[in-house]
Amino acid sequence: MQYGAKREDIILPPVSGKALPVYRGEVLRIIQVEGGQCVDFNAFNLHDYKEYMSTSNTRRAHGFRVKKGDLIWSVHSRDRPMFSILEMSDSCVTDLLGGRCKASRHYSERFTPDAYGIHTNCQDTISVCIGEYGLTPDDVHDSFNIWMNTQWDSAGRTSTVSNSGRKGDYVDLLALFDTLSVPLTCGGADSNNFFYKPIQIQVFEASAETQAIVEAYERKYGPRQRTLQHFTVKEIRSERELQRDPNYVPEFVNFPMKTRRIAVELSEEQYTALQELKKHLVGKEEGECLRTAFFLWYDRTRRKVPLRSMLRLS
Amino acid sequence: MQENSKTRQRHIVEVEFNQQQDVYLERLRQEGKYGTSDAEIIRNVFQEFLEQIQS
Repeated sequence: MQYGAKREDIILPPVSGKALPVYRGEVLRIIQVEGGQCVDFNAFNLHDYKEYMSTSNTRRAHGFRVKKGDLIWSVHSRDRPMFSILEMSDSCVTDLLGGRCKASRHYSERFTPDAYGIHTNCQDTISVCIGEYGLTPDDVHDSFNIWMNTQWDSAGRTSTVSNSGRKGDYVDLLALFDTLSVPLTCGGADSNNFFYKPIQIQVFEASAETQAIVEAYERKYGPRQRTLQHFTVKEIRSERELQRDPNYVPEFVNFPMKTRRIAVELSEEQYTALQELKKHLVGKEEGECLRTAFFLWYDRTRRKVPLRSMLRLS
Repeated sequence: MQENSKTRQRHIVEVEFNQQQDVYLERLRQEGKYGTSDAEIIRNVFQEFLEQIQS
């Protein structure tokens, strides 16, 4: 794919990062200079920082190991794609579960302010980067972890294994709207093969091809996006103390939920089968079991992406 | 063999749907294959569900 001209080319030294605007249609390239370095990534809407990257929203769309062709999504309140992953080396293991490392993770090793000093960590590195734009440590969010070779067991516990990034490997992120992008070199102890390395960052201007991709996503996802006009409360708080608004009237979606009972006549055979299903399906009452069967059927036969994995026949 | 309605018992099961779930009944009604009344649609879907899990 043809990108525009390169307008930014910087080296991020170990345990550092950079907040930089990457505009709609531009491509942010993140390159392994030596290999074996984990990159943490945060991103914000450049014109409204309350819209920022969401690892959980992205996980819902693509799972927690995003790859080439996947999208990186903004928070649920806005729900729109921020980046398209145009390129990703095969060696790049991504992780959207691990969040980011923090200083206190190393307190037990006496990396504390009154002993050896604070250990490098991504929470603090991101805070320093975004401070340039007036954002605070509270604005740091869970990272899109790039080249972070995690393993997760069935109990949900994690461990980090050898970083598989190779020299020259790169990831290309196409910005789908104007962003403040924050790539940084991870300062954790174990994600980087026990030694910190630099990372190279390049930004390519928009081209006709990248603009066309952006416009296609805007056509596809634009109608479902949420904007401030959908919010009941629009203003950003300036006080830290929370106080109740006595005049506030909650307006929940479809509240109160209306229900109705439908009498369904079943044959002897169907009723017997329903009794048998009661032993296996979620639902203690006959009607509940019949409804569950209805929606399991609907899920299997009508939905492009089945919703139910938690209900299964034994 | 003709079904003997006197000996074959019918059972009424009450199922509760909410306003959002009504949408799915309406879609199936528009498909035309599963009947017109809500009860008919639910019964026919249930029958198809049983055939699926038994096959």
